[in-house]
This record gives sequence, C-alpha cells and structure tokens, in this order.
Amino acid sequence: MRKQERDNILRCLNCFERMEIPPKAKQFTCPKCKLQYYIGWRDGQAKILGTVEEGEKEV
Amino acid sequence: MTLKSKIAIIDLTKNEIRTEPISEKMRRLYLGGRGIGAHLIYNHVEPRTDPLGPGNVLVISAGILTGTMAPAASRVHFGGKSPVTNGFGSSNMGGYFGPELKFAGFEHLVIKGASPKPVYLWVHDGEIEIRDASHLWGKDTFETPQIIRDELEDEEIKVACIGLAGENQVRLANFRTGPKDSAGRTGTGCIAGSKKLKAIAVRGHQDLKLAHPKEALQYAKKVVDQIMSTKVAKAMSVDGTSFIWNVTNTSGLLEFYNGQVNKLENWRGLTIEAFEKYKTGMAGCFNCTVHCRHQFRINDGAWAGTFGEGPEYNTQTALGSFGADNWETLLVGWHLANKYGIDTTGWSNDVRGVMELYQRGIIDKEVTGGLDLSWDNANQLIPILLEQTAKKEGLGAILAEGSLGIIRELSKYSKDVEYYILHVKGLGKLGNVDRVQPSFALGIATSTRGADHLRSRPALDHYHLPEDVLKKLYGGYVSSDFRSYEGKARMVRWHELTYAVVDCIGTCKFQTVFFSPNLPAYKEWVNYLKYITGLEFTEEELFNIGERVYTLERMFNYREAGYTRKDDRIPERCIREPLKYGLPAIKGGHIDRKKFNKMLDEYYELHGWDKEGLPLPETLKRLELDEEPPYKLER
Amino acid sequence: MEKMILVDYTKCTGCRLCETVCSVMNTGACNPERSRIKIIRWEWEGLQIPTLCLQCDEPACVTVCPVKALSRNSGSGCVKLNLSLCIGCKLCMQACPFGAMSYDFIKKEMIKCEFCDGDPACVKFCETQALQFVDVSNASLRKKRSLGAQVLMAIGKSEGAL
Repeated sequence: MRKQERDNILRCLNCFERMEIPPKAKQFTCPKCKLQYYIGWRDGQAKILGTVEEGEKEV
Repeated sequence: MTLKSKIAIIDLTKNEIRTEPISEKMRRLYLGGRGIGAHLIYNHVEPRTDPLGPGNVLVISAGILTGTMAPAASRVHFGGKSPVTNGFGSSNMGGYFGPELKFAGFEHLVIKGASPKPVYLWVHDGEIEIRDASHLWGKDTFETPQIIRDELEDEEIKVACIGLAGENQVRLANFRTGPKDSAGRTGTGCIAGSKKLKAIAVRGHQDLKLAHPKEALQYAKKVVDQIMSTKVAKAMSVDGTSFIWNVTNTSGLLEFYNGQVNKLENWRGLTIEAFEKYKTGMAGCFNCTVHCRHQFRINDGAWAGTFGEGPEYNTQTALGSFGADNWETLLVGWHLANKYGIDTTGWSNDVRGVMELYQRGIIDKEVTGGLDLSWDNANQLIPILLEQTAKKEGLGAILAEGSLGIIRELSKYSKDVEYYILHVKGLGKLGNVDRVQPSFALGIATSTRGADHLRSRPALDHYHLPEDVLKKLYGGYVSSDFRSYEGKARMVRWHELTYAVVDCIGTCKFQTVFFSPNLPAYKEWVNYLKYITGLEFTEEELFNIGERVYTLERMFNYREAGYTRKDDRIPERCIREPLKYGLPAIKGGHIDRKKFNKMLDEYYELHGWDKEGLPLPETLKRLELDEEPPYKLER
Repeated sequence: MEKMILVDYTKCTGCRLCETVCSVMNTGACNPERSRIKIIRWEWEGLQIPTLCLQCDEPACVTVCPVKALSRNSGSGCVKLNLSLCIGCKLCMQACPFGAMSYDFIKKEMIKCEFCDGDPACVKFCETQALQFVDVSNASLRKKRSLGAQVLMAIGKSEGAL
C-alpha cells in the first residue's frame, strides 16, 4: 500500500502558513495573515481557486 | 554497457549516410540525450554559419534511457543553431517518437547540408532512407503522419514533422508529432524547413537489452510508487500542468497584456473546472504513470468537432495572457498553432509586444495591414495572426522573424520598441511573472537557449521549504523566501545542471525534483543507470556531466552569437515597473538592478566563469573541454 | 479458482508501460514488439484499447496445433505453450481470431500471454487499473460496480453536490 501525501493541506500563498482545509469547504481563511481563499476540490484534493477580495480591474 | 544505440550522420547535400557507435568515453563525458546532442551540435555546426543555410545541423537526440521503463522515459531533443537566437537551439518533447527511434537502433541523428527538393527520412531497424516528400509539402502536422503510415503500410510508424510554418522558414517553427507533442522552442522546425526536410518517420523492432532486468523491474515499481504517492503527481494526473494556473493567478504571478498588469479579473472562465466540458479523458506519454495530458473535443460553435490533446500550463498562460476569459479561444489557438507548427510561447510573447505597440500608438493600421490590434479583439486576432505568421503574409511576415526581427523591422517607428518586445537573447518569455522572484529572473536571463523557464526553473523556490532542507539539497545557504536574492545563484545553478542531467537521461522533468524534493533525483538516476545499462556513475559524476553539458552550450552561444554578460539580462520592464496587483507579498515587486548584478557575479563564480560569463581556462580543463580544437575559445 | 486479466479500456491512457514490463519480464529487454500485450491507439479519437490473449475456454489455437504444444490449464484459466513441442508452424497465429499468438523474431519462437506464472507484470504496473487480475467468478460484478459508480457520479453532478 502506498503512503499518500495529505490531500487537504495547503500553504497560504501570501505567508506560507500551513492551512488544514475541512472536507468540502468552499472558503478558508489563513490563520496567520487572514487572507480569504475560495477553495475547490479535484478528485479529493483541496485547491486554491482565488481570493475572496478580488475586484482589481485590468488596464 | 548493454545498450547498443548508434549515431547516424545524414548529409542531405551529398545524399550520404553513415553510422557510428557511441563510445564508453562519450557516455562518461556526455551520457546521452541532450549531452551527446550538445557535443554533436558543437562539433558539426560550421562556426558562425547562417542558421538557415546548409552549414547548420539538425540534431535529434533521444535520452540514454529513453525507450526503457525508467519513469516516463519518453523524451527526445531537437537541436542545432537556433534561427531565433543565433545561439544554442534545443527543444525537448515527449510522446512516443523518442522511444521508437531507440527501438530502431538509433539514439542520435545528425542531419547536415540541405536537399534541393522536399524529402523525409525513413528510419527503421538500423536502416535510413532519404525519400521524396513532394506529396507531403504543404500538408499540416496533423495529416502528414497518416499519409506516411499509409504509404509505408504500418500504423505503428511514429512521425516527427514540420507544418506550413517550418516549410516557410518561419523562425519560430517547431517539430511536431501526434496531436500535440511539440519540440516547441528555438525554431528547430525552421532549420528543417531550410533543409527541405519535411519529416522523420521511425519504426523499430530492436531490443534495448537491460543489464539487470529483474532488479530493474523491482526498482521501477519502487520508484513509480514513490512518484505516485506525491500530491503533485496526483494533481497532474487529474488536471495536467494546468493545476498550476489557479495558484499562480491568485498570487498575481501571471502576466497579462504584455506584462502591464498581473491579474485576470474573470479568472473563473479559465479554471480547470471550466475546462471540464471539453475534456474527454487523460492520456500519457511513453511509460508514464502520471498521464498528465488532457484529451478534449469542442462540441459546438464554429469549431465543433475539433479534437486535440492538451493544453499545457505554458500555453494556457501564453494564449491566455491576451485577456481571453474563455477556453474556446485558447483551444482554437492551440489547435491552429499545432496544425501550422508554431511555438505558442514565443509567438504569443511577440504578438503581445506588437499589440502593446499598437495600444501606445507606436504602430498603426498601415503597419498591421489594416488589422485593429486592440486587446478586446484578441479572440478574433489569434487565429488570423497564426495563419498570417505561418504563411508569412501581412503582419505575419514581421511576426515570422521572431523577437529580434520584429525589433529590427519596427524600431524605425520608435526607439522604445525594444522595451516593449520582451525577450532574452531573442527568445520570447513565458507569460509568467519573473520580476518578483530573483531565482526565476536569473534563470531566464542566463538560460542557454534564451528566455526559457525550463532550463533552470527552481519551482521549489515557491514552496517555502525549511532552510536546513534547502542547505542539504543545494550544498550551501539558500533563503526560503522566494523574494530574496540570498543563495539564489546557487539554487539556479544546481537546477540548471540537474535538468541537464535529466535531459541526458531522457525521463520527463516533471517526475523529478523539479516539482518536489520527494521526487526522483540523483540517487534514483544512479540506480536506474546501473540496473538498466550496467554503467556505474556516482551522483557527483552525474552532476559533473550536467556541468560539462551546460558549459558547452554556453561556449556555443559565445562562439556563434557573441553572447556574454551583456546578454544575461532580463527585460527592462521587470526592473522598472513594479507589479501593480497581487497578494501583499507579491504586489510592488520588481527586480533590483544592483542586487541582480551581484547575484549574477555569484552565479558566474560558482560556475567557474569570469566576470563576462565565459568559462575560465581552469574550468575548461577540469571539465575536459580544453582538449580538442573546436573547444578553443577565440576572444 | 480460474483467473483472468480484466480490461477496462476507458481507463487506459495508452502509456504502454504494460508492453515494456511484459517484454522485460519475458525477454530481459525493452522491446514492445516482443510484448504479449499490445495497446492499439486511435490517437485522433482519443481511444486506447489493450489487447491480449483471452484464454478462451475452447481455444482455436489448441484445436489447430498439430503437435499439441498448446493446452488449457483449467486450474489457472490460462492457455499454456510448451516450447519444447512447438515446431513454429504458426497455424495458431492463423487460427486465433484475436491476434493473441505472436512470433518472437529475435528468439525465433511463438509467444503468448501466460500470466507471468500467476503474477502478471502488466497488471502490477498499470497505474489506472485498466488491467486487473481477478477471479472469473466475480469479474462481471466488478464491471457492474464500475457502471454503478459512474451513474452515481452523474447523479451527484446534476444535484450540484460538488
């Protein structure tokens, strides 16, 4: 049997703090820098989709 | 050494073919793949020759382990003097062509001279024929392989071919095989077009004998388990390399509109979830358990019925950086670029630069042949411009000349043109931000093939690994922070040399330390080489081979194009324009010129090069590069 | 209990690792042309189909062999080839409707899949489990479960569960 790396651990893209995402969560806030992320799930793996505070306009 | 693969030297002018074995000394100095390829390119290309002339050489090099059960041992290199950079041209692709070349008994093909009429090479079981290709000239890269298979009556023939772009000697033309595999960068397809070489067809029934088959099988299972237990392998097997896109866009690490901004507001249209409606499955390269290539079909609209494989992260950022917010634009662009045989990365980079010139009023509709190059028109422009480039018509005639040609042609309208065409040594860059990560910036500035991210991409720099782990891996201090300059010269050099070793071996880079410190590296390669070929190397010997290969490529660049420190630079935009958007850690980031220069000094010193970036005599001696006349550098 | 190699072509990615390990297992060399399993690809349809010996209950190869070199072992469920009896007439290759018999032109002998003596290498290495080595008695149940899982996923999707 293979030892799998944990699928619900992500790192904050801003401060690199470890984030343990609860199963099926759609949003998550970084415990350290408080950045809010949208979370997606692909085949059981947690993914960062974007940040909740968006709205930056392009040129 | 149980593998008996040969080198074939094919002269298209004289219509002569001869073969040579690969000596043990060659293996110990250059190993195989990109390494022996670099040696062949260095020795066979006539010094300072015209890249589009008969003095240039096209070298096709499979890895030493390509065709064996080393993980994803599918890779093959195409190289020569690049028509884009005038320096070392080199591009690597997966799929099934490389293994078939090995089964046909060859590891390297050296193609010299030029044919007066279109030809293709038929390589099969130790034999090579030069065959008429006049019926193939004008056919795209999708149809050419099947025509050859029908002609030679074998469905298992693998074909690497050029499209219309290569035939027309568009500088960015590439080599293609299958629905999507491409030796994309540095214009190797253009070299073939200049020789009137349309395709190389291969078929093999020969053994690749293993030294220790039982141990090799057991070890292969162990390494596959090691690879497939990592998160990154799982992510790639579901979403391909596109799994990176959301993370980089969220951070603010993607460039849009030629690097003017670094965030796409309508990101939901380009997520991998949005791609699902096109996806029909996942497929893999030769002997790869990760199977990271998508298969897709467009089901409705003007392009209904279009089937393809891919796309990759690289092209998602390239074609996606015009501000497109839907997958169909990308898939259509991808499909056409593959059909014509054009490098999506370099082409997109150049087109973005020209569109910014239009945005700023530096060029107008007279220059563009009547086309409105506003960013809003990107969806319509991409297919039009791809066709024009392949046919060298209208604005395409300028785009076909690559970054340096575009600058040369358009500088008459403004001296600022050079600022807006982002390139290093003439090769356009990936639509990824480099200006906030010193390691990435150093990587593209010094890469031996121009602004290429794969030569040395230290993706690990973004993982914020503990400093003791980094110190152990790199043999010295490297900062955990990707924004720091500390130790990054050491990091970049280590990755350059390591990826050179991977390219000599012929396995896929993505199943190595590229993506994770838990993925295969030197320890695994030493074992693989021992069990499969019987050759024994230490980890340090492999590292030295990487160093030798990289240094030789650098020497080639100096010999052919005079590239020195002044050319190890990043686009000025990366220094002068801080990032407008992004996460707090990213926003405002830009490269500091003084710190960059200091990092470059450290990098040269680590390599054993002088202040101009040229190898010192003692370095050449240590790497055994000083012995033969071709290696003497004239200053 | 009789076993079989169950093929699910929808899971095959066309990587051909099975061909490589099969040839290494049986010949000590990497050479897909000497593999007992073959992946047939239609690259423009996005289809990859593994093909191998189906170990028929009433094998045409056994019937046609003039020297009785082929026989079906009902314990393992495998049709075995006795090379010491084989004369290489290749009638088995002509008779088999599935292309299961091949000729190894390097060793100059007939070859077929013989389950690697009970532990097939191709199954061990197939990452997507497109190949599974299973008891014949529950093979079709596996297929039914697989279908059920797909239906479940489709229902789940339309209810917006993800």
